[in-house]
Amino acid sequence: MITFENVTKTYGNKRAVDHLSMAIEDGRIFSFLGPNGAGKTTTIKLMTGIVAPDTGVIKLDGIDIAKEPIEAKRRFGFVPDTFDMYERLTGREYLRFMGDIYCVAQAERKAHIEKYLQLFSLEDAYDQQIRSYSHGMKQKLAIIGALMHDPSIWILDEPMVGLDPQSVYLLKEEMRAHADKGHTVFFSTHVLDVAERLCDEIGIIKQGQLIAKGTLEELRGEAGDGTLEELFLELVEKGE
Amino acid sequence: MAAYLRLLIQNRLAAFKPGSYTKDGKSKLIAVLKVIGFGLLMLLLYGSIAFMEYMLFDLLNGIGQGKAVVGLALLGCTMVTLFYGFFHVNGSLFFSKDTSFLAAMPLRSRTVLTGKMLSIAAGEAGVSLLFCAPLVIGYGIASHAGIAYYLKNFLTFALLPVLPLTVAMLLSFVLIRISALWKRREGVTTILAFVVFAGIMAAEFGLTKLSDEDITKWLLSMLVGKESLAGLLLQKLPWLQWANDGILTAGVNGWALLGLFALVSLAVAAAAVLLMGGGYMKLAIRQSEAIGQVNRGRKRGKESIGERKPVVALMWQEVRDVLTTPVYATNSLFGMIVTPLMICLAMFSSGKVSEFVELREALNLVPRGAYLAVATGVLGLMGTMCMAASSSVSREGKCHEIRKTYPVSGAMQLRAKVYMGIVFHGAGVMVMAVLLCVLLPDFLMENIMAAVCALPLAFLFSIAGVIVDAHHPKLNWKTETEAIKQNFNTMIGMLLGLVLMALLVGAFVLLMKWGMGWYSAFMVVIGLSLVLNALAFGWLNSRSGKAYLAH
Repeated sequence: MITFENVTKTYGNKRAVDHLSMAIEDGRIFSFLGPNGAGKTTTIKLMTGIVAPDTGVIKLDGIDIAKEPIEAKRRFGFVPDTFDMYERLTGREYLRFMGDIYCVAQAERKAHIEKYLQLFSLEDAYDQQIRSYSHGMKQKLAIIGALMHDPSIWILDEPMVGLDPQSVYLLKEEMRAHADKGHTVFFSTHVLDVAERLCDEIGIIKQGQLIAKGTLEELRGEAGDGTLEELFLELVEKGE
Repeated sequence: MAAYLRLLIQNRLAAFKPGSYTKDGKSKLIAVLKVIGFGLLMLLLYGSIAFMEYMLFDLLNGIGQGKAVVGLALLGCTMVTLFYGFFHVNGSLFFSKDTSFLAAMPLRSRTVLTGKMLSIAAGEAGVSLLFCAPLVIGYGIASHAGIAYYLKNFLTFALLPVLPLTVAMLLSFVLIRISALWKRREGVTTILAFVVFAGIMAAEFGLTKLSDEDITKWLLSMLVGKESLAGLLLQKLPWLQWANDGILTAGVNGWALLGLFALVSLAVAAAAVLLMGGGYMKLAIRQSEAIGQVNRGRKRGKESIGERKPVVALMWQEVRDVLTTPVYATNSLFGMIVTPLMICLAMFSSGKVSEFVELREALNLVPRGAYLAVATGVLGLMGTMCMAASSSVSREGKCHEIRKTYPVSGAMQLRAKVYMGIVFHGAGVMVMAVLLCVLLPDFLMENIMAAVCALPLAFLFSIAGVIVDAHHPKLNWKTETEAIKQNFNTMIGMLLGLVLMALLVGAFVLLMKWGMGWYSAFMVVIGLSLVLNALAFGWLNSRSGKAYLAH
């Protein structure tokens, strides 16, 4: 479960996140939508401990990330939108590194790596340097690394970008399975079709404020019938 | 061309803006105070260099060789540009991340090469002008020189880096061509860079060495005021001789000599760009693609994925990062490799081995305790010459944000960097200690003891470097060179190391004055260094750990 209580973050004169309060229940896939510069990335940075909020409290599985950052960080796996790090490591070295950082036992990490390497067809590239990977391959490796410690909360920033259709399908299946086990998946996307078909709940942010949150049906009730795309455009334009 | 060059220079200048270094304070007053403090520190650094230059000028002026400062400044700048310029040129031409981007632009290969070289030359010219100003201004004031003298100096020092950078460029092309023969070309590049560097050093030692006959001749001539020290040093470097004579000769003759210097410098550079420019982009792309191809065909092996503690995993990641990135490797291993190399080259290339034997015999008269203290100090200084620790946070660049999501404290992340630093700082100490053991076997026990006692110093400098970088990291870099070479933190880290060394030496001298024996004073100072280590480690774990996460 993820909770935001009156969270605000300001950069200079710009309020990137403005008194954000929301709760994402266990067993749900939550899609976070918003136009460019709306505050999605800042929200993700706040909940992953990359930046600290000016005011407010963020709890991951009931743990305040400001008060117990290390314990809170063990609860989630984070996949950034672009993976451009440790490019001189091989896939194996990177996954070993992630296993060490999250203190994953050898047997568990081996099983996890085997499963996902096979799932994402990354076996042949395992011992090659990351910089020889394509964007999609890097994304897959980031996902394998982030989920290695079997976190209860998945935080995925634009996870489908660069993935081939087969991998997108497999990732969606994994997300669904994770949520069905009673865990939480939080992901941001610009692909509204994916959000529409996959998510249990949708949040829309604009100028740092949460302008809508609920199931697709609940949002339809707020803004009338139509596809998520039409709803999104209507809700975003409403405030202008 | 003009637009591309402007972009390169803007990018270069942006590296010096305070905004390149993160601000951890929220108060504007604190931010302003920090900028002022930083400015004062830079001023102090420059002031101390200017003071040393003034002392040199005063010394030479005292023996009637004041005008030699111009020649010495020219020679010094040329050598420094060649040393450091080589790594800079190599990194910018062949290890820059903009190669693919530029390849897609409607720019000629020669234009890109010219633009890059002009941008580097502009930076090096700025450095030359800045560092030689105290010497040449000092002489100008003392000799009541007119405006023409200052104008000539400005033009000369602005053009001075052109020729050494051209040599560096040609060497860089050769290096990349040779390294292309091996698969592990980054490792080969790093090793060959040091080999080329050793070659440059040997050549310079050979070109500027003064034989006993030369020195005697100069001393005799100096007494009757006929021979100049600069003339003697520059006799094998004609283009520097033209520049020197051009600056110091009044009238048309002086300007003509300067014109000759400028013409030769620019003509050689233009010829080199003309010759190599056409194939530059092709070679740079092949180089960048070869990097991407590393291990591409490698099949899955059976290496271990065994467990390690997080701090160990972080430390080895740091060590690996330094060793596998040529720019980081060359800058971090520089002191460790170059200092012993210089000692060996200075001894063997100038035929001073016999004098060294005499030195060894003279050293036998020195008290053992005194030797131990000096050797420890020398080995300790090696620890101040490494950039690995003082750029370790900056080198994270964009990765810094992701590293903050790891379930480990900021203090642990920094401790891992300190341990990485001790690997490199400690290695520097050990290399130098081995050299001392080989050169001075009579002091074997003292050399071993000095190596052991210098390790706390290396640890201290490593912590100091990480603390400096943790509080003001330069994370917004675009090239790896910016992260380490064009990073003020590395300079401040070295300066801080030297200040700490000066403190310890001061304490040692004071204890000796109070009547303490060599060994007792030495042990007290080592104890003091351990206390400083504890204090610095405490600071690192508390304040710096928090600062690291705040960026």
